[in-house]
Amino acid sequence: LPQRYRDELPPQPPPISSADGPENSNLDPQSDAYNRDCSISPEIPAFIAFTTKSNNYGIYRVYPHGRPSYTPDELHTLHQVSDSSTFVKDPNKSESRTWWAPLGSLLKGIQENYFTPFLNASVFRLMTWFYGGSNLKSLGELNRLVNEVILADDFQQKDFVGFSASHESEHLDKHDQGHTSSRLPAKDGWIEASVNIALPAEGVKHRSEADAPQFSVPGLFYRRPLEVLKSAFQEDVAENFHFSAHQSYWKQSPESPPQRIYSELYTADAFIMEEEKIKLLPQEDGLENVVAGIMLWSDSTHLTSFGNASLWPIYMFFGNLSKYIRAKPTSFAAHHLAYIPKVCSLVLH
Amino acid sequence: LTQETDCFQLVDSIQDAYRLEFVKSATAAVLTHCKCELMHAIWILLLDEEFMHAYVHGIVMECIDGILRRFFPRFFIYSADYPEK
Repeated sequence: LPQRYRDELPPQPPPISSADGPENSNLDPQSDAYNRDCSISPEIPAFIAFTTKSNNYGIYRVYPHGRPSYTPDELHTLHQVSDSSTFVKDPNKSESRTWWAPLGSLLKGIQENYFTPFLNASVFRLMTWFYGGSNLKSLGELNRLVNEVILADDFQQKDFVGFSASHESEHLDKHDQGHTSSRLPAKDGWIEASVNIALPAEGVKHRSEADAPQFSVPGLFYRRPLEVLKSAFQEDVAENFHFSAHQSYWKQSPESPPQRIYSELYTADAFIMEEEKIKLLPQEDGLENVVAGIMLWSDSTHLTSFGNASLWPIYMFFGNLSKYIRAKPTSFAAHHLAYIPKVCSLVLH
Repeated sequence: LTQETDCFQLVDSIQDAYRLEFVKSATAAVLTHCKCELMHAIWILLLDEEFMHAYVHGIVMECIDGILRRFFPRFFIYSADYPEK
């Protein structure tokens, strides 16, 4: 096959196993040059950069602040860097975030008590079968009864002791009434707030901005950014987070000059310089200082094809996560931080 | 045009408050200014004292490998389409 038709698979990251050891850690001219340029206080000795071996593409990494204490590279799979609806699903996929995860704990309650208002999962399944699907007794409906109800893992015969169909449907009716409370309850991390803005007017002077008339804009829903950050770094997907910045280089041959590769947030100079600053801070309690790279996006989003329902969300992403994972819609890597009240310019008489 | 109707109420109420205060309507420029102020007010709310403390002093969290590390939140990208337009 001619070379132009060959589709190379993305390479594995350069290895950092304990057996490897630095190849030429102190001697790498690139990292030395970097350390001279970037050190904030010259009297503090520069960090000893850790250089990995090259992978089969001739790509290697320089960790300017020393050997990383953790990298997600052992978890690297082809599935993380490829995505298509025609691909076979990764059987042991590590991207375990669910579609509701970006909303925080908002829907967790629904997920954990999915059989509310029924007392247990078995009754819930039977009632769901009863109210769902077709009204007619059919072979398809019978299959659904067996597969979705009787064969379900959480189906138990003893759950039906004292079962009464009319009683259960009453449960359902009662549940619908009086449960119209806010969709974004505060206990789930979402806070409803209003913010004040000062109103200006031409030719009207106030002693200070605080004296200007205030207008209260209601209807802002938000989650506290620190709480979002905490949950993001402690959920399972955080195993793919990079805690140490590095520079990525490519050498065509061992003799060629190294070529810098820019790709991820944690390989960017801005990230490395921030890491440098916090690594120079004292290590309280002997704990490693790590940069939590926040990226914010915000734009109006239409929710429907018809009508005008729209949201103005602020999304928070973490640059510690590889863009190959972060940008996959199926990874649900976004964290919803706030919904801004929509203000648009109309009414100008 | 349809898109604008769902915000009618809010803009109406800001106009009402404005007229009550200054006995004239807010101009387009004033409304744009107010929307800009709204963004800033929201960010003042979001970046609360607790967050700013973590920004300066870090926040200790247990990582997936069981090791405690001190994290410093840092902003690298703020990509937003402002609602003032």
